[in-house]
Amino acid sequence: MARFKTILVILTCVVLAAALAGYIVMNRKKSAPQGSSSSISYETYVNVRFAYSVCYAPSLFIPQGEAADGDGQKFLSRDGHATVFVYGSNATDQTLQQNLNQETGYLTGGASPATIVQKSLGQNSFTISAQTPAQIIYEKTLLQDNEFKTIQIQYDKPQAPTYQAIVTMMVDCFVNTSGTTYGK
Amino acid sequence: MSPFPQDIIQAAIASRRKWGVPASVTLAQWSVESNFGRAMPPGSNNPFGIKALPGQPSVTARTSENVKGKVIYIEAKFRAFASLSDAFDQHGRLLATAPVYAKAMASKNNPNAFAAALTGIYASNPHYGIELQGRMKQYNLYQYDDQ
Repeated sequence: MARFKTILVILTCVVLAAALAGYIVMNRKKSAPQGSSSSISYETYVNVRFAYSVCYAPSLFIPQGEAADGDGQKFLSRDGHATVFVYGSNATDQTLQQNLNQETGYLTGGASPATIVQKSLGQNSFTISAQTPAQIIYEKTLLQDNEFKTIQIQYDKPQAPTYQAIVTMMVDCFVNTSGTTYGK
Repeated sequence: MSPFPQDIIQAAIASRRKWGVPASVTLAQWSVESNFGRAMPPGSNNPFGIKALPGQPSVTARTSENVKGKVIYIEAKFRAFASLSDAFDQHGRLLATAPVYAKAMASKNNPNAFAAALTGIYASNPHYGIELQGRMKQYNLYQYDDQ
């Protein structure tokens, strides 16, 4: 009888240990970034001045704080391999096509000229994909109420498998909000 | 006809004389930030998009978004100035005295370098300095740096 009790206690301990190990493994999977957008939690940054919002993963990106003029902010990746800019500006007298040409000029000029891979112009937005020897660049601009709102994402080419899904997620959730109203 | 009114030009020149900020840069910022005076928070006299710190006179900007069927409002406060000339004066003071603009102020005799140094600090737009320089060249705003 005593031997039976000992075996029962051992079996109970084994079952409890297995259950505890399983619980720990399951919870680690929930909280740790796995490199795919589905396993990452996102927060939303809303820009009031230019009425847009974007989601970002705090586990991957650190928001750098709004600039003095409130046009947007920069997000730096924790691994140092990616940068995201979101910003708004007045369209002045520029059309979406003219802004696309201007942004293309900025990307292909400067100290580290990029090659344009793809451009797409819609009724109220455009996208640009570009590459430098070291980086992949993706940009999307929205036009609403005579204001341009832009997200530009740059990441190092070797990190593409990590960032492609995240870029897709951020670009998809980069949207206009309701517009800006003012009061005292 | 120049899109830069005389009172705006004079305010920028006064700011340069008092604070050392190139008038060409101030005028370019005025045009970019306020769309030549057409896009300012109503009642604010704030053409530079300057945000308000706690306790400063301000106007409140508000936008909303729909989160899972629920409307969420988000607010931000922008500086309210007594007049446009007050706004130009406080803009000059900000750039001349805030430590983050020390690099720009070190180039106060080189307006293009000054504009470039505002990128990423005054505005998040990574092409901000280039856009300012474009306005400065397009409207020959450098002429006001010597007055």
